Amino acid sequence: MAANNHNDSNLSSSSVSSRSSSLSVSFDSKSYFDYVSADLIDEIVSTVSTISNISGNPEDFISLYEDIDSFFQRMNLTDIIIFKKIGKSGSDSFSQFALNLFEKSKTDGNRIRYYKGIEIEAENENVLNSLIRKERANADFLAVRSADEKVIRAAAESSDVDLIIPVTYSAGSAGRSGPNGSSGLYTAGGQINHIVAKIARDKKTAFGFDMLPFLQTRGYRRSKIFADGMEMIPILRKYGVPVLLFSGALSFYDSRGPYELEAFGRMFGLTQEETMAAVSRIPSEIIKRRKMLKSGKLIANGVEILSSD
Amino acid sequence: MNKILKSPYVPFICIILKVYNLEPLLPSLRKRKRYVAVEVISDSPVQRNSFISAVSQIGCTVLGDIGFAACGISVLGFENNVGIVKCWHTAVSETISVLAFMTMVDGQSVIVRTAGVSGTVKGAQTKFLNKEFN
Repeated sequence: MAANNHNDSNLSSSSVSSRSSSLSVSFDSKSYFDYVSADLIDEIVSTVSTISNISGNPEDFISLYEDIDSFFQRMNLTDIIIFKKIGKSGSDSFSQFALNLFEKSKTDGNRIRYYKGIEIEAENENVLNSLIRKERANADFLAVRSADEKVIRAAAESSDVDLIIPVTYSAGSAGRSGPNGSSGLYTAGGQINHIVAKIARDKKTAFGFDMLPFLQTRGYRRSKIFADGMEMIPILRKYGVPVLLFSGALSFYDSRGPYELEAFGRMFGLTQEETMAAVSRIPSEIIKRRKMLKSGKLIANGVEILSSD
Repeated sequence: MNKILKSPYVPFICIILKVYNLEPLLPSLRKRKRYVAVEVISDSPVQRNSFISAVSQIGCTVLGDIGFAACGISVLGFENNVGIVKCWHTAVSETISVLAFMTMVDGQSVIVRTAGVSGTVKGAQTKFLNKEFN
């Protein structure tokens, strides 16, 4: 049974203070990824700071890092891509705490690894290309969120883009304010065609589905997003385009663990193996590839320096 | 479950079954089940009844009435924000999805986290919850 694959060793429960109850959970040595907003980190920091009256002592901040680590551990996650949004609805920035978290993750070899992600929402291809050029060097992981066919095509053609998210919101972040919002939700249902899928496969760009729109919508709207996703999956599968599943959490209560993401993927029509790969293998491969490209070990797709002699 | 087994009526039930030649169904003929151990993360504790009604409501919304019936989802026990949800062995991913889609119970925001899946109630209790339900 797939679900039991997560449960090999025991871990103690977390301490995101008032929300926790004692429970032992476990997961194996595999990496489980999630892609969450920088707002989530800020929310946890502010909540824990309020509860435990953090004054600014360095020791207090160490406990904060541990609290964030233990929250993600409790969700059975090992690797977190924290993204900030750039584009249509203005530009977010990482808080100093989030930046420290990235640095600490690199040096300390934390239990949870954090990666810097940037999510671009562009109106057209030109803006997209300029933003990609500008932001690529600053990010470990670059995603493009769009439901526009031309933008998706441009993103697929760029080898600098790691992930395309074909579900978007209208300007003004409609649908993100409340559970019954989502008035401006658009999906690129019929716009992922065979050509785009083929280009994405060649450029090793993944397509991703986040759970957030499904949590924020109800009834017809949710079924429409499901339908669009189900329409895309066979095309992506046919051309072997990597598919990613993630929570895309903007707040604490949007977070979901790998168990839930896998089950969500099964609802889309992905197979057991595909869902397992979508939450662990594919994101780790993307990050590994980016690291190799950055260090110069990987020159292009298929051209790799094995030894310097 | 333990309460039922320890009940004083158990020997009488066994005698009646023997007298009327009513053999219990063989384990191989019974429908296979899975027990999903869940934990609810929320600001204040969630009541059992609220959780049960939320599961059926979200289940019917996400899977539809027929889909929900086909999954055989029912809540076996729920105390102190941890519980066990039963389903047919073919509908584990649907059950976990239904639980994952729960965002509100009794007007408060929640995360329903799946701790694990087991083939027996005892397994779910000991492996994932460290707790026995009455």
